[in-house]
Amino acid sequence: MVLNLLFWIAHFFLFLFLAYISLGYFRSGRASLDLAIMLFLWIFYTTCSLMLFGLLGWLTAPALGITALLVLLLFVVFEPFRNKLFQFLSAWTSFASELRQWWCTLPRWLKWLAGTAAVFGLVRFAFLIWTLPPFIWDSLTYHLTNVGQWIHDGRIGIFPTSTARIFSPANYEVLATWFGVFIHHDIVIEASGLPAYLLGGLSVYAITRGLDGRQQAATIATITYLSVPAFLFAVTNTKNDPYVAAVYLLCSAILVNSFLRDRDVHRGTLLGQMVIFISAVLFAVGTKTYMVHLFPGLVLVGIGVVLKIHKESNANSLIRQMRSELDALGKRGKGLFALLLCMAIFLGGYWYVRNLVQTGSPFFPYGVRIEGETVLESEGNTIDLSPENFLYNLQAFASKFGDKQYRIVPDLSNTTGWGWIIYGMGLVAAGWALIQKKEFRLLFTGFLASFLVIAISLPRSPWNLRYVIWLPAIFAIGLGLFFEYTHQWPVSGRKVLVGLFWFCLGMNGIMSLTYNLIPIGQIGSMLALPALERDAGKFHLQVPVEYESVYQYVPNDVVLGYNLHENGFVYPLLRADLSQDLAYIPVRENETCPQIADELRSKDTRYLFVAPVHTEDYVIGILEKCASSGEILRERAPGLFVIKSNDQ
Amino acid sequence: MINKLWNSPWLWLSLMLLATLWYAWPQLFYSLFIVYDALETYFPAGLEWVQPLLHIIENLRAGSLWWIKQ
Repeated sequence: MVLNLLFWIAHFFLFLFLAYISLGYFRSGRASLDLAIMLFLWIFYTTCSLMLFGLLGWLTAPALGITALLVLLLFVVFEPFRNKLFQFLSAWTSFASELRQWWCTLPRWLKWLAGTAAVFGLVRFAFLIWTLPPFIWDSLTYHLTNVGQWIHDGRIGIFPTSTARIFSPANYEVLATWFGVFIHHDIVIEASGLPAYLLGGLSVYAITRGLDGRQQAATIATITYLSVPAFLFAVTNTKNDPYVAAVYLLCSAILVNSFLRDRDVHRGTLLGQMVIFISAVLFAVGTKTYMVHLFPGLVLVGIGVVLKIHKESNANSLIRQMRSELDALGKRGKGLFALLLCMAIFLGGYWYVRNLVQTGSPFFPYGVRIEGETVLESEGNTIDLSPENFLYNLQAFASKFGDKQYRIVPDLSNTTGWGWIIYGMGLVAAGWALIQKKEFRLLFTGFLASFLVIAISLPRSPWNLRYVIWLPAIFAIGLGLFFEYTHQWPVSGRKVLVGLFWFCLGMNGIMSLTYNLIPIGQIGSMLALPALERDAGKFHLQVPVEYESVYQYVPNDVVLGYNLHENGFVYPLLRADLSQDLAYIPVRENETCPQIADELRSKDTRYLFVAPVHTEDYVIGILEKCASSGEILRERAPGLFVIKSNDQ
Repeated sequence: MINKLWNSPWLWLSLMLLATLWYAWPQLFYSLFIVYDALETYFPAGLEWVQPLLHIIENLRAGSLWWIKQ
């Protein structure tokens, strides 16, 4: 275990170092955006390396760790890299001093608020990640099924299972393996959303600074967005939406900072920024397809800011600058840009090409219908692009606006999940910013455009606003800018404003303690278990008790057969240490008991697991009949059928 | 006059307080789920005191939602 932890640290350190040395080519001239870009590069490089190792079948702690250590050793041996390595280590000192400088710019009340929020956030994340196993429906169905099976197999690929949704684009899942592969356990797998949380926060900070907000405004905007329950809950829910949201915000930050700022003041590399922008968009497309629907909003912001510059100076100067930057770029720089773009095309396109080759549809298992006409057949859900769907989704959004129908829970059932600060202060502040700030208007139009375009395709469901968890960021930015304006207010007015902010933040914090969902008794029952034995199937918030039968009666060194339907939980069957060999056993409606037993034997197992709600009723009916007739199979425990020993 | 109103802190504070009050109904009770749950887990006797109040709140909430939909 100690060796595996060393491998983990080495892998982290290597890609952080690579992100640092390549950052020189992508600097924006804005510290917060540089930090966001460096974090994105770490996410991007790590995902790419795991993907390559996974496709080669080397997704194991020793393979990843030894390679990382060898590369680091090479860096120590070769002088140019060795110098960079020392530079990287000393950079942390200057980073700490910059952080101290930033802290000094904040007023006392904001230092208290930021400090309290940071401590509360850290403790909350640590406690929830450590205590609770994954429990979100889609994660247990397919997101983590991919992650768990890949770690189990040491290989990224398709495997026979009950849900076709494992074919969905999966860059997030690849990155999530990093949080489980080194320790071969899912104890910290819920931390896999934290890089997106940091990236989202840094991007909101950089956008506010790009809109001429001071450090105080940017800090308030960041705290506001990071406390939005929809984003905060999603981060530790092992789903991919926070990554799309974070990348969308990063792209907005790049556009705002690259183009809106005075060219004479701008010291960043415009070409490098564009390479990051394209890489980020492609990364998000390979994470979840709906990034394509958000893209028009970004284009609108891009066109808007270029036109603004065209008015004030000359848009051609942007192209000239990029061309001169390209000419001035050395071989190493050009090579890095080309490599990054190739990696981005790989991460953005791999899943679609694989699906096209293997199934005939790049979007498998989803179909596409445009105005009632099926363009792509589907195995499951169909994305409906039509004016009717657009109007339906706008109406549905209106009915969810204000979070009146239900309490905010991670699935965002019939709510927007924007929370107290956005509704109580952000909407009014954004109204003020829309009238007062031209650049804010431009950005707001982009966000609105993205929202309207995605409304055309949103699936009709109570939970569909999880696709727009980036939207409250614009209100958070508006609030940050508004706070800056209130400097001229009398002290009494500001005190009321600050008091209201504390109250709203506190309310968001209180509901986040247990995701506004999990009974304290259930948290207690998880705490009573040893940390490494908190299997997802033992947490009965949504998982049926039948899953416990597997842990009690099936040894983890044998194959476990299972039959679940498209929406059933496969992941808990792998166990927390991802050790269980699984085999999917399809059962047809007219199947006989001997046929089922033959199927089990052919998969080298005598166990068949089924669970109510997660297995079709007819399958459970057939198995119960087999068990009651005493023919071949018997029910060993609830949900667990075995071939009788004398029939083996 | 409009300019004076626009620059008045009390205009913005009033709007924000109104928006918070609007959001607080019924979100205040939803957001305090943990308190209700803690009562249920550790102090069920206390819940007996709170229960009638919650029923009234729930009826008011359902009533106001019905009214909004009308």
